[in-house]
Order: sequence, then C-alpha cells, then structure tokens
Amino acid sequence: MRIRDLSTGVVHEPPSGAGDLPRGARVVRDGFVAWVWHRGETWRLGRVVEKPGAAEEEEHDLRAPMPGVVGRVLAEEGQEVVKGTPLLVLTAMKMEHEIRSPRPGKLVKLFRTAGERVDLGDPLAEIE
Amino acid sequence: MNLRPFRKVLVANRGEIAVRVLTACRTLGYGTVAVASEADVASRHARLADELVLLGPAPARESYLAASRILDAARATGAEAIHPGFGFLSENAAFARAVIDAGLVWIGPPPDAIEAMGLKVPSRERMRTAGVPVVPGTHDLTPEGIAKVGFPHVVKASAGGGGKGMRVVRAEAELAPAVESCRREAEAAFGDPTLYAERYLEHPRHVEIQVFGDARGRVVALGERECSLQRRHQKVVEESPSPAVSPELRARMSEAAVAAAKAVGYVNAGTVEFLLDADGSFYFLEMNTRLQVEHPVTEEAWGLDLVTLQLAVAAGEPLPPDLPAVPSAHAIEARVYAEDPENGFLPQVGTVLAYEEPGGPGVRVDSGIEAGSEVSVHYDPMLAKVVARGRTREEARLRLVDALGRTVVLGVATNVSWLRRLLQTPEFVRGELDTSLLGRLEVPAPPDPPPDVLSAAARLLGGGDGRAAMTAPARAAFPDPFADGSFRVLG
Repeated sequence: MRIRDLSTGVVHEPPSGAGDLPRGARVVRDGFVAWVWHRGETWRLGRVVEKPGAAEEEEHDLRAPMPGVVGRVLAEEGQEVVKGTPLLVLTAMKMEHEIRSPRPGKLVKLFRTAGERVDLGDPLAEIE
Repeated sequence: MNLRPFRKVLVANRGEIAVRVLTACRTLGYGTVAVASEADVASRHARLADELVLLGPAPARESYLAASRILDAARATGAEAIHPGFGFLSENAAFARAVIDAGLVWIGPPPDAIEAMGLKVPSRERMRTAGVPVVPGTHDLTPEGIAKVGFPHVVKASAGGGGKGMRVVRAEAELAPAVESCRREAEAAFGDPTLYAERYLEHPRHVEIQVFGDARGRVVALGERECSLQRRHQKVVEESPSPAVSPELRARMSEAAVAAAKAVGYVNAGTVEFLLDADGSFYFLEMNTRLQVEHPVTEEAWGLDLVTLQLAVAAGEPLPPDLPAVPSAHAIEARVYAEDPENGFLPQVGTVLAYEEPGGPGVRVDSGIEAGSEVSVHYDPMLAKVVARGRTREEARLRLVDALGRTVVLGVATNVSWLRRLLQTPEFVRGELDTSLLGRLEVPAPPDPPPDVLSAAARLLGGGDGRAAMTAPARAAFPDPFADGSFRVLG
C-alpha cells in the first residue's frame, strides 16, 4: 500500500510490518483520510488507489479544494498549461482564490463556467 | 448614549469572541444571553450563557446580521445591554442607534463616532484636520486622479475592513483589472462598491494603538500592538509591545491616537491603526470602532481586562485612575485559521474530529470550538487564538512555539504547524517585521510523515486491495484497531 500526504501530494511507501503507533500520537479516520497528529505536526494521509482506472482519474482530475462559486474562467479547453497556470477564480469566504494547474499538460475539459456553485471535491478540470 | 448600570447582557456574536465576552460578564455576575444561528445552537458560546435565543438559519444575513431579531431577543429576555463583539454588527452605526433607541445600553462607542470613522475617505479628512498624519490618497480612480497618489498604491473598498476588497497596483496597466475585481469583492462583501486608493508604503510596519474613552471625556492610550504579519491583509500574528517602538515613539503615537479618538468624541474601546515607516514616521490608516480580535496581547502585556473595562464604561463609570502607563510583559498571539498553508491557504471546512488546547504558565487560548464543531462556509475561518506571555519577547515566543506544538486539531486542516515554523524563522526571532514580510518569507516546508506515522496511517486505512478503503463508512470515529494501547484514539 502506498500513502499520499494530502497536503504536499507526495506519495510515501510505509515500512512493511506493523509498528506501534508513535507514543503520544492522536489519530482519527475520516472516510478515505487518516488524520495523524504527532509532536506538533498534523498529517492528512490518504491511501493511493492502485487500480489503473481509478489511479488515472486521480492523476488527471482537478477537484475543488473548497466549496464556492466560480467567479471567472481564466483558461480555455484545448490550451497547453504549465504547472501554476491560472485556470479559474473561485469565490469563497467573500474572497477570491485563483485555482492553478497542479501539473503541466493539455487542458482537456473544464467542468464549470462562471457563476456556477461548486462543492468540495467537485471536478473542475481535466488535464492530460 | 444611555450609559447607566445594567444587570443582563446580550452578546450579539458567536465563536471565540462570544465565549470571551460571555465569560467576562459571568465573572462579574451579570446575567447572560447568547444568540445563535441554527448551525450554532449546540456550540460552546450558546451553552455558556444563562439564556439562549435562536436567531434563524445559518447564513449571517438571517442570523448574526439580522438586527431586528437581535433586538427582539433582547426584549424577550429582558437583557438591558448589548455587546456586539467584533465583525457582524459591531461597526454598524444604524444598529448601535437602534439599540440605544430601544432603551438599551450599547457596549461600544457612540453611533456618531462609528459613522465618522466607518467611511475611510471622510475619516481621513477629519483626521487630517485634527492634526493626525495621514497617507496621501484619493477616491478619484481615473488615471488623472491616481497620478496624484502615484505608484505603487492600494485600491480598497471604502466601506471595507479586515482586508477584504483590497488590491495593490504597481503600474498603470494593472489599474483597470484591479478596480474591476476590487469593486466586485466590495459589492459582495459590503454591498457598497465605492473604492478609494492610497499611497502604498513599500515596507511599513502595521502598528496600532489601543485607546479607551469614558463618558466624562477622558481618553487614554494603552500601548501599541505590532500587527505587521499579515497575509492578504489578514492579520496572522500580533504582539505587544512592538519590537520597533521606543518609549519616545510610543508617546508620540499615543498622542496622535488620543487626538484621533477625541476628534470624534470617542467612548469605550477602540483602536487607531498606523503604518509605521522605517524612519519612525507614521500615518493614520483607520480607526476600528470596536474591540479588536488581537486585544488579548494588550491584556496580557499590560495586565488589563479590556472587556471588563468596556462593561464598566458602558455602565457610566469613569476609567480607573490607576491604569498602567507602560507594559509589564511581552505577549504574542497566533491566529489559528481553518486553512491549508501548503495549498495557497485555501479556507477549509469540515467537522473538528479531535481538539486539544495547550495550557501552562503564560499560555492563554481564546477559542469557540471543540471536538464535534462544524467549520462551515458561513462564518469566519478563524478557530482560535493562542497567546503566550513572557518577561521578554523571547520568553513569550518560546512559550508560543511550545503551546502551538501542543495544539491538536484533527478533521479540518489548520495553519498551526505553519505558525510554529513561522515563529522560528530568523526574521521573526529578530523581530524584523513589515506588512509584506509574509509575501516574501520562505517559511520552511512541513516535515514528511515519519515511517511510524505512515504505518499507523496504513493500518488505519485498512489492508486488502484498496477497495476496503473505498467502502469504509464516512467519518466513523475509528474503533481501536491496535491492541497494544500505546496511543490514543479520539473521536
């Protein structure tokens, strides 16, 4: 099993064999996410889905990081993007947040247009 | 202003500030009334008060901003005074007037003073007249008008506050898009798209003076707070005293702040915000006509209870004659926000699944959450303020770093670890702060999860081919999967 740090996106290989939980740690599971607090640090850890189809979806979908309303769309379908290319503006908590491409590639699909509401985890864009 | 004694106080707010004010009222023996939206009926502030009135649905417009429902709540419970906290209706002059017209005591400044300071353009004019230094600015946002202010400048919502609806413009080409986006944000946040622009000082500090006035016309200054660490114009870490303020500078800034307050007939707690330039010159930014979020650093450094003073002044009492003239300690506050620092500080929502607050000598936590609390899109993402006091700045800093290291929030991502790393940067340790520091500071990345944390997560997330994880019940307080008992599971 591989574990993804959901904050940094880095995938880790846990050591084989079951070790003890670190002393003083706090853990809780929420759906697909394990929250672990240890010595002042908090990690959100998710299991990497190894099935080919599911893994592909996870790699290529950009999901809404928070609920909000699409303010403006800044990119076009078919456009080549680099890591950091602004794709759209999400308005939440009365503030505007620019959603950027997490990786280089071709912007195949934009699922939302200006004015639409999105929930946490909704697909926003597909990048190949 | 009907400043007179009262026995029962309604606190028209939620979260940590409602808890803070209700606690002060209880300590002094006042009867307490909390108000809550449907989302908050079981929250800490709602449980703390003697009586609770349900205001309406979760959106603030139908609950904490619904002035008539709050007045009805006061009438129904026989509350004789209203404390607005900060945010929501606290700087709404019409609400303050309605409270007074209803024969209740308004625990805050006179409505005329709120109004005078509420709109940035007229308030700056007034300050200029009163001899308080102001930054050059204009509300003429045409290229001709802007030319008088120069670049860089900042475009702001005239009705704004709290950093919402602000854009820095460094060249003429950036002006039109900034104005458009700022206007939209101002309209959405305040219902008023009026903007103004002012000179942007390149590396100023944000230093503010706490002022207090009583009904007899006495106005005092209670030292400064350094609030230079801001992200998107939202304060993140505050301290008192400021590492940049000498007793001589404090005296000059206090004099200007008292003049500002007196110019509008100020009564009760207020804050005069200044930009402090490297050469020691300072400029009036705005006056916040309410208790500030960061009031605890003044309380801890000066040995005061500002909410208790607010209640006394509202009851018509004079300010105590023996208020301190100098700080007796150093205090630093870190704001815990539900946000993801590794992903553009995006606000986070969800259920707090586990929560622990630190304690110990010199450590104070003002919070309104607990395990089970919902963090929703309806309200501010600030969850708690962790404050540490020390004899020196370094003692306070070390206590705060350690306190944040004992703060546990699971279920909603927060900035706690990032705050700890921020407080350990050489820039913060040296106190070399300015309002743009957070924009250029390299805060170290969080550590990768160590192997034992990874194996704990792997066990928690289940074995098999990965499908087991896919069918797991959403958000179950995880049953104890380990037999050795060397850890704690919290739900």
